[in-house]
Amino acid sequence: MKDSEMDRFDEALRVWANQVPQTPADEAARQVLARLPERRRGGWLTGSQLRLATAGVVLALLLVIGWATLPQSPVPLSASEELAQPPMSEDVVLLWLDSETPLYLTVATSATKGGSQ
Amino acid sequence: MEHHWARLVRLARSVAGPADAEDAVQDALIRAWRKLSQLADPAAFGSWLSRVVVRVCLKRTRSRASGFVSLESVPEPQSNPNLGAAVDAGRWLASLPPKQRAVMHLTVVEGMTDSEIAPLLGIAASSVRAHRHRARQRLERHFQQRSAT
Repeated sequence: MKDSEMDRFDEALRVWANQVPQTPADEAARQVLARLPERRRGGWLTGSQLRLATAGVVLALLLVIGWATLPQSPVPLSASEELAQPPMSEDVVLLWLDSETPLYLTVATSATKGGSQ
Repeated sequence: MEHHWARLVRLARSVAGPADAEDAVQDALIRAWRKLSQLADPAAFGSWLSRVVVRVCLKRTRSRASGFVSLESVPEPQSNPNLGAAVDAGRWLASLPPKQRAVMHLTVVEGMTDSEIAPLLGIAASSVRAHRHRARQRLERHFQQRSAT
């Protein structure tokens, strides 16, 4: 094939490609700008919405962490543990100095007081 | 945007076809607006926009059943002395695979070099040459068939 034929083709291709767009540039710009907010509303978070959502997630995390790290309340003695205490007579008073330290006080009764008459 | 509109529509017309060209460029501009923060070099804005347009056009041609543009969709230029030859050229371009269309457009219409075209299409410069070579071969066969009839 002659080069001139290829050159003529290239020139024809340039003519075809260089047609003016049907939509003027300013009109196209307006159409593009009109489509931008619609897309944002459809599926994209704005900056303030994103900040609000982030704050909500952080707050929820803090609540969960706070709940998990609360000090646990003392477990009450079970019935079996209460029964395990040594039997005490009526003249013995039991005082708990703390949860692990019992103090047994023996109170003098009439039978033990003053010796025999 | 107005500065680039005509150039980008020309590119999209060649790659995606006349019927889809302007819509494809609008889609590409919206995509570019969203990804503007990824543009490292503001001086490369024009070529970056072209790359986005090419990607959108290639995606559109892939999503079409055949990937080829209908010859009937090529509009006829008005009041142009090269009317017949120009329409023929447009129709011939539409018969090529999309990347060959892009290479022929960027080479013939925009006058770009292989090393300039390669990053736009995301391929090596040697692939640009291969695409153009195959397109030229096809064009030669087209001319031979035409002269034989």
